[in-house]
Amino acid sequence: MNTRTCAKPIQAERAKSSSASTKAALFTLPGPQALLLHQSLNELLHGIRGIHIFSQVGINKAALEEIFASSNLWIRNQKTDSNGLPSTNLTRSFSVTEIRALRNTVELVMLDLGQEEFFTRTGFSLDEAAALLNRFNFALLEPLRIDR
Amino acid sequence: MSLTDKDAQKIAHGIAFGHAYWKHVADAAEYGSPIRQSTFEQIILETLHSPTKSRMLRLNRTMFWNGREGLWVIHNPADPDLGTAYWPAEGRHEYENLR
Repeated sequence: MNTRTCAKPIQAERAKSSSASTKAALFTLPGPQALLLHQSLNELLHGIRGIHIFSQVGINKAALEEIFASSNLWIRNQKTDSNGLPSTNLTRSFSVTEIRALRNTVELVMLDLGQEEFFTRTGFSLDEAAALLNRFNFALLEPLRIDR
Repeated sequence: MSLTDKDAQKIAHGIAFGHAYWKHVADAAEYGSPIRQSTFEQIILETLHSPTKSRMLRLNRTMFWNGREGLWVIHNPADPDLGTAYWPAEGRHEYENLR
């Protein structure tokens, strides 16, 4: 059994930084952003052609499908308002790798569908998608603020 | 979801002669072989008249699935082109999950 610990502070820092991508933290999205994320995942996994998920999203297809399945289950069980939007927040735990993959998913779908059909296919505007992208970017940079 | 002949023709024409032709037929070659806009219009019209499945989405959008062609048509009255039509990677799954 390997019981060796990091004797030097710099080694401990490296170990801490390498585990950051697998460490999960609770993340909350308002209902409409949760639905937009679901729509983006659906487009990326089932709609858009020619995406190489592992190299472009940064996670393997099975892992992304798992996130989609969980999101789909949540969406199906939500009560919706008059606009068909979930009225509750989605709170679940995501690792940094997963948040980065979700960020990349939203960005790829925005770029592929573009001005012409993002709204028609997802039911959301590109401005709403940009706000979701900002949420993910903010979350990805959050550890830097904590470390400092 | 049923449309009148006049509505279906208007929607099919708007989509076939709008961005969808250039994006999905001319550039991405999703159909497999080159087709004219008039042929694209006929395939869309056939889909609107006899979809394999159809259902309403949020915000007055309607989706029509043509299982024979593997084609999705989404009618969006708020879109200047009246919607889009494309051949998705996994159409059946997209139908089940789109909101």
